[in-house]
Amino acid sequence: MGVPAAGLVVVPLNTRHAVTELKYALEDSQTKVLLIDRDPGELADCVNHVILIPDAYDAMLSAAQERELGVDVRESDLAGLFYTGGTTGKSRGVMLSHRNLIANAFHYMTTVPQREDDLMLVMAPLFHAAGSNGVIANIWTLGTQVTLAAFDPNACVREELPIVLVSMVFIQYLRMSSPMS
Amino acid sequence: MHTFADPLRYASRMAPTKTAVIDGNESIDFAELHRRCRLLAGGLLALGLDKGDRVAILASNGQR
Repeated sequence: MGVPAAGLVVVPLNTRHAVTELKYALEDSQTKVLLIDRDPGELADCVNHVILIPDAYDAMLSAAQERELGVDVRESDLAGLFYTGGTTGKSRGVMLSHRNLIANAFHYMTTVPQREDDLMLVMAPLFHAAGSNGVIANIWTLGTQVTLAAFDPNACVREELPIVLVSMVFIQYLRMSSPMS
Repeated sequence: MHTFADPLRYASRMAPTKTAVIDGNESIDFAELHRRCRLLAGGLLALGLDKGDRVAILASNGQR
């Protein structure tokens, strides 16, 4: 959220991609800074700065001066470059503007009723446009988001969460593993 | 006209102390979420980045 709000362009990388694909995305997008929660390996050579999550990231925030968000940022400005999964060929960086991503969130808000007392499980990967879309909507409608690092179908039952962004895999899992305990 | 700054600003004004994100044992409210995004902006721009520069993220879901 903070990256595009600052007028920068976010490149959410797929955590399931291989090094070759990740390097391609970094080079193709001419990424300057990489925020990463694992060993960057040779990806470090593709960028000017590597910031490790959580330690270096938290240190950067502690040392930083707050900057007002949205200054000189226009709706038509590029907000994110989402690299496609590569199912139908080489991965491509899809250019999405602030207007594109916010329109997407508005559509989501009109089709999935949202309330202030919602607890939203953020299990769908945030590197995917479908995963990040709900985040914008949920902030706007003042809901609470619970982040989950990895796919864990039982977590939403444990946590008694009413709204979850699900995929077919998830529904299949529920059908196959009943009764849920 | 809306940008990514708007939902953050709106939520921190409307419900500053309401819980925005729960990540494991840590939970942060909307005012803190907005503050952390402003700090991230400050930290990244201090590295010498200009408007439109690319910042990649490779991480599992979490509040950061």
